[in-house]
Amino acid sequence: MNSNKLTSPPRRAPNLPPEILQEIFTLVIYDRTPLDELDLFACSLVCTSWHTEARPLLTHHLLADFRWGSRTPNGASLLVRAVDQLAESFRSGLHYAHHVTELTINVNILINHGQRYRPNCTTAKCVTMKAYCNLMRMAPNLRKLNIDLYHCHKLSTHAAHIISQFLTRNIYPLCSGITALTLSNVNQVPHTKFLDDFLSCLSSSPNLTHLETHSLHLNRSLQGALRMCTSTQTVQIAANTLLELATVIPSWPRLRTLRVTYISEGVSALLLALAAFCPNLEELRLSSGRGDDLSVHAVQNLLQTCQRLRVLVLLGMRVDQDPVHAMAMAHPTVERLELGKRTYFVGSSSLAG
Amino acid sequence: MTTKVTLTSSDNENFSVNKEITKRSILIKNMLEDVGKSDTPIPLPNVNSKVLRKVIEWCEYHCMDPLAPTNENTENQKQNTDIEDWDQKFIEVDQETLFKIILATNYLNIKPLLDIGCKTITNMIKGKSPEEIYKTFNIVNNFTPKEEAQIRKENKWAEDQ
Repeated sequence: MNSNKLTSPPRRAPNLPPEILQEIFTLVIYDRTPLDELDLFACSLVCTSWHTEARPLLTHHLLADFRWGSRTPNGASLLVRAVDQLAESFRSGLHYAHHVTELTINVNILINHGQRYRPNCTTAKCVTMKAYCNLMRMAPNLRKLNIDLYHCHKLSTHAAHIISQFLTRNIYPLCSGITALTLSNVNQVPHTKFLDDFLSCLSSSPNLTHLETHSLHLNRSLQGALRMCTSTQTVQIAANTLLELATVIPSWPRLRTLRVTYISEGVSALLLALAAFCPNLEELRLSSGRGDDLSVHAVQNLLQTCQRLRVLVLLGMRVDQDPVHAMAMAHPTVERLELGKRTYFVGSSSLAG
Repeated sequence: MTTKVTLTSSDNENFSVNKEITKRSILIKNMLEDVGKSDTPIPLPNVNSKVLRKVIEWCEYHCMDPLAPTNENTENQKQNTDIEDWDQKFIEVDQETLFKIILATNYLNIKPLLDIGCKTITNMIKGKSPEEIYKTFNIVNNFTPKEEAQIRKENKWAEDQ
């Protein structure tokens, strides 16, 4: 066919009518597995008539929340294919990458071989790393970055070092638009210093305002990194106790929202720290798994200094509820108060639940 | 005694086919019902002799299949892209013929054969990059910046699930 290119145009396939293309694409996407979605995505880039029929079947979250490569055995190849197709869409002028607002980096698929990332290297791991870098370069609206350590419990010190270099040298320079960072499954991993290093790099960005982390032991190194994130406004954390978190609070003067699920211990210390250092706090949600003693004095302090507080949720605490309720009623901005299993909508002075 | 019906392809070739077999095509079945008893050949201007021969071959092989499956059955058929062995062999043709068989069965309204054609295309698409797909099917990638601007404006996303 190529040899005839100059003399005669390649023989064109007859056009399939829309209803048949729809039938085919419905079959392609039938099970809605990540692989099916990727196949449909490829179909949408073949030509304009295929695009017209395939595009309405693509879901927005598929690209907006870019998690190809997540938690599947063939994750790396899915990721590389998805990024290739994004690049292809770019060449066709479709700019699908503009829809990407959220990216999950799966450390698991990067650690199979202990090699340093080199841009021109073609080994599987380097190709995977390159795919993440390319995606970040192509996606101008990417705001939320999730580092997922799922299934990384065997991470060696050497592998952790490689990941550290990848994150700080290759990913960090592409993070100027990132406003939110999530660290998932951190407690599965023996060495987390590489996360602290990455967080320390990112902390210099004034745009990073949202931190989220699950299942976390706030060790000294991470505490240090968190202290550097002085622009932080929203934090969502799962932790063992609140004692370590209380020591980080003084570094977050702009904090507006704090949501913590923890096991026990430290609630009064945390409230005192918030009262002292976070005057802009608007929402505080604390949930203790095993119960925790909360002093009325700590709540009083918080309500007196945080004059913008709207939502106060304290679940699993042992506290004298009546005075806390009375103080919340007297507060100028508190709209919602939850204590134990009771919800008070303070704004309307009614008791519910 | 079986009655025969004559079908004429777009390139004017006549095919004498058992009447019951032609009823696999809902289009021809309806035509025969409308026309009643007649010896006039049925012209099929959208199907050439090569493709018509293939379609008749399929209808003859499947002449004992129950006619007109219920909606429930078609749903079951859709659930996987497996194709029976004979049909698999039957449909192993060059892509141009495959497309023409699909177009012909769509026109003749032979749903089971259309399904086989669509499943075959689906299986050929699986795991391929856009470039591999348009090379496989000899499709010309006709994206131009102007068209894309229009497309981008018009298309909405599917419901997120």
